[in-house]
Amino acid sequence: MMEMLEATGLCLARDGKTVIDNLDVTLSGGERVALIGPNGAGKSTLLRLLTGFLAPDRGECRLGDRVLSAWPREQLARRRAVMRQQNNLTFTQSAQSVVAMGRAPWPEKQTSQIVAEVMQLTGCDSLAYRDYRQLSGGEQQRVQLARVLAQLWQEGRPRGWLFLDEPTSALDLFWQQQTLRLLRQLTRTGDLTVCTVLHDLNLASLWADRILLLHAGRLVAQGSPQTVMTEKTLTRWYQADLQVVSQAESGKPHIQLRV
Amino acid sequence: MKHLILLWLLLTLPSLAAERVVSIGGDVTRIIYALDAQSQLVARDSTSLRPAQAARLPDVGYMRQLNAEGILALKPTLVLASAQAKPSLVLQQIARAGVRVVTVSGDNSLQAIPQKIITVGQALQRESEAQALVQQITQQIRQLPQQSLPVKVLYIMANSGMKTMAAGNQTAADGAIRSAGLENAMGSVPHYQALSQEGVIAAAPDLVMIGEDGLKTLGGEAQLWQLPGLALTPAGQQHRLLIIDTQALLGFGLDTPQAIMKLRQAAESLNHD
Amino acid sequence: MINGNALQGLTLMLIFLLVAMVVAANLGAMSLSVRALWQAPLSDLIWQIWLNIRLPRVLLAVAIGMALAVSGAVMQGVFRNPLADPGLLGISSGAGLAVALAIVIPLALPPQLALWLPMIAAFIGSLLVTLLIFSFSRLAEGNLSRLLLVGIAINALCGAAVGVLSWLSDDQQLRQLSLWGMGSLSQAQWPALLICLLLILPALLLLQSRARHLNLLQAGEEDAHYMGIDVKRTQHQLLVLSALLVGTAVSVSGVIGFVGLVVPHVMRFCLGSDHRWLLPGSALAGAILLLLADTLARTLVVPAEMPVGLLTSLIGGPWFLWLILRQQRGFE
Repeated sequence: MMEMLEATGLCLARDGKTVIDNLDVTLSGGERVALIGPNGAGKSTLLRLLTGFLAPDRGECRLGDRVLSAWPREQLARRRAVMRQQNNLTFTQSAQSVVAMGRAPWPEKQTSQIVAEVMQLTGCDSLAYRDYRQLSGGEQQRVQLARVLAQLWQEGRPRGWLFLDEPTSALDLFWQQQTLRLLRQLTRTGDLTVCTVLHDLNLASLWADRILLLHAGRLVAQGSPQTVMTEKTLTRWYQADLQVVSQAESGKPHIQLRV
Repeated sequence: MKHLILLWLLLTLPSLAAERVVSIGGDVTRIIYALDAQSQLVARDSTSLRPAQAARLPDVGYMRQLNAEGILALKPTLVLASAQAKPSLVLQQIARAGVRVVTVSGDNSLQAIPQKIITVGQALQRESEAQALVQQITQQIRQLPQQSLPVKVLYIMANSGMKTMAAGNQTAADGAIRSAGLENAMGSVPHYQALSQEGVIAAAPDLVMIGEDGLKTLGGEAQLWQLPGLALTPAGQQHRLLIIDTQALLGFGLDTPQAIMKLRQAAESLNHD
Repeated sequence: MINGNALQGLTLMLIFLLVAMVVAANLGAMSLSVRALWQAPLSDLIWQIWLNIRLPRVLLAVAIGMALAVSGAVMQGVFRNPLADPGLLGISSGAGLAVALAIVIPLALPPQLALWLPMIAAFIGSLLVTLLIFSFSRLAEGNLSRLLLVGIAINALCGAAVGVLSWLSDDQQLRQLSLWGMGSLSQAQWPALLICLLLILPALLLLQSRARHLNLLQAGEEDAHYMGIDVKRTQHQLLVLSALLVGTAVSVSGVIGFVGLVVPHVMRFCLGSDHRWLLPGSALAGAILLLLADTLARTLVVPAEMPVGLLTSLIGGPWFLWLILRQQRGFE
């Protein structure tokens, strides 16, 4: 049974402006959470607060029985991993060594074996010896995903908390599908929670079992896709002319933009 | 075996064996030649260019960038170093290796010259020659007029790649000018200063002094008088220029008393115009 | 993960360095081959000279070459910039300013102290600049780009101050100052060498122990944080150790350029970016380069010597160009 991630009363201001405004959210083990909201809503910032990179001005974030800041660095790194939208390397490095970086919090012993397993799982084993900087955007994203999965890899599969910021933005349809299916499959055991920022509302609807809708630093709606992604809610917070229909196959909401 | 004996001889019986002398400092080298001891010289530093024969000896480099092994490879028995080369770790290393290192101290004054000669003479065991030379130099110094002359002299230094500068106080040029009983036109400022139009006009020099190399750098006398403000000075209006031998006048070595005499004579001739 | 190729490369370089050291110990202004030494009794003068002049110089070249190259590699790794070099934070400039002050301002010191004055001044200068930089960085929340700006400012200020001092100095002092700026190992003596080793060797070992952290920093500060590194603390440690290496090297030998910038660069071509191999590789290559340059410096214009900084540029420059041209793909 996994611990819970509880954020209470999170507040953060930057340059006098409120970025996150009194936010409460609880994430539990095995969940697939999608974080959505218009630009500037504070999604990336919330991610940074939930992962411990930023400290809130007020409020706290607890992972299990401890506040995030009380977790020893290495232990926390073994328990939660983050994949950001942009990853730049200055110097040449093989894709394999990038993935191997993810094993930093762990002892050296099984690194090569785990790296090989994870790269196969994410379909980037063919990229192993290529220069990371020469890879296409999509290939780089798959390598980054392999890295964060490797970071949480324990006894045959990733366990813990995985935070992703737009993990599919550069992927083509095939790889978007593969990645999201992989992530869903990995959460089934209940040992892995995935919380991801997604721009594509339809992907969020199909994949997530819980939606968090952020607007101006506040959590304005949360729940299942059917509950949150209604025409009324989305039009109000996105201020766009939308139509929401129920998808035939899955029954999940399908968002269509009226142009 | 032969090698070892020779080495032993060189180190333990200096009075019997020939001295091998390394000279560091242009003024020191000059004195060695004047004492007729150049047969003992095996090398010199990069500032020792007089007399011309000295330039043919191996060059151990600039006096503040010496190489211990390089000097020791010449198997010297004596190193005569100008005070300007000190303090030096390399000279200390050489002394520790058993070579005699003698410092020839002296400042930028006429009085220092006899002292330098005596030090070199003693080190080379040429005391009688040294005494004779000291007499000669002292005579030359005594011949320099004692009264001061109210003539303002400006020394211009022009090295390629640097701005043209005038010598203020605390420079060798200032020492030379005052030793000639004259006034340094820029004597109120320290060290070397860049020529400024107003400064030069205010200084109002009666005579301008420049080295041969400096004049070459500027491109000739015509270019000299075009320097900021010079044309409006008494020296500039009458084109009163003295071209000097820089090493002789400013080195405070053997040639200095005569060079100062020349400067004094040039200043005196101005008054007659 | 052990990189077989890298290990091979390092072993080869180590062997080459040892051979180079023996060769360098054989060469010099005096004809003192190791064989002649072997045959002569210990009390002999040539042993004296070899032990007190040549040997310390060879060892110093190795130590300083290692210090400069590794310092450059660390700077490039921390700032994630292939153009970073040990002088980036202004430490050599600070040392240079201190030396300029020592040269130009007449101080009446006991003769023994006066001998060591430039070295002591340079070391104090480096220390002061290091303290200055780190107190500034604490004020500015340890932001790397702020640190870089402070370094640029220090470089500019010290350069200007040295300029003023040059303007105030006479020909002699000016020449001495510019020679210091070109570097020389002629001050190699056992006391200086031992202090050098005492400071450089531990710093090199400590940096090697941080090599994995340096690798992780390449992913960016935020990602390195997520992977469990205390980013600010690690950066500070790396920069302080790098400053110690540069400060020590510059104090003893003056400014020797090129080694810290180009050696890590070239080693990255050959050994890859993994700092566990890159740091030792840079150390060995830096030692070889400086040893080669210094041996030439003290044998080409016997009995004088050339400033070793000129030779490192003359040797390193064409080598570097050749490597760039050889590179098939784009440059880093």
